[in-house]
Amino acid sequence: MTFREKIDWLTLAVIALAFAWYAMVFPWGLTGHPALAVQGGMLIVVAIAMTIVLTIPAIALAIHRPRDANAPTDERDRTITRRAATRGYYVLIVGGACCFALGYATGDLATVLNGLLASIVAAELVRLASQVSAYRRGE
Amino acid sequence: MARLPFSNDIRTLRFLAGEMTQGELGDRVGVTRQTIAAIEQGKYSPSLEVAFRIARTFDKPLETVFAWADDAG
Repeated sequence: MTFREKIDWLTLAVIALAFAWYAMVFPWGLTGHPALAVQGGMLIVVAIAMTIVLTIPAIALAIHRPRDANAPTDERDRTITRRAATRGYYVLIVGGACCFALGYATGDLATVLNGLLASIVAAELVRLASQVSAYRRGE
Repeated sequence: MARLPFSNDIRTLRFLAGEMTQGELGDRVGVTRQTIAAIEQGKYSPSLEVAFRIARTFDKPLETVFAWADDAG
C-alpha cells in the first residue's frame, strides 16, 4: 500500500468518525443563535481533533517510509485524484441545492449551515472512498 | 471494469531484461511500481509518453510492447 493510499484511508476514517460524533452529540432540537453557538464550538473541537489525529500518524508514516512519502505523484495518481474529485463535486452540488430547499423550508441559519456541513463531509467521503477504491482495484 | 482494447508484453520484456523488477522499471520510466503493475495487468491505460518511455527502456518499438487486441474492433 502506498503512502498516499494509507493517508487516504486514515483521512476517510477520521472524517467519518469525527462527523459521526458531531451528528450524535449535536442538540438537533436547538435552533437560532444557541444552535449556532453550539455548532461553532463543536466545529472547533472537531477541527482540532482531526488536525492532531491526522498529523501524528502522517508524520510517523513519513519517518518510517521517507522514500514513499517523498515520491512525486505520477499520471495514474493524478487520474485517480481527478476522477474522485469529479464524483465528490457532484455530491457537493446536489447537497448545496438541497441546502437552498432546506433554507426556504426552515428559515433557520443553523439548519442550513448543518446541511452545508453535511454536503461538504459527504463530498469528501465520496472523494476519498473513490480514491481508495481505485487504488484497491489497481486501476 | 472494462478491459483495455490492447495487451502488453511488459512482464516478458522485464524478465528478458535481467528480471528487472516493476519498481526498477517504474523508476526508469518515472512512475510508481503500482502504476507499472496496473499497466501490466491491463487495468490502466498509460499516456503515450509513458508508453514510449517503457518501449525505450527495453529498446523496442512501441508495437512490440503494446499490441491492439484483434477482437477489440
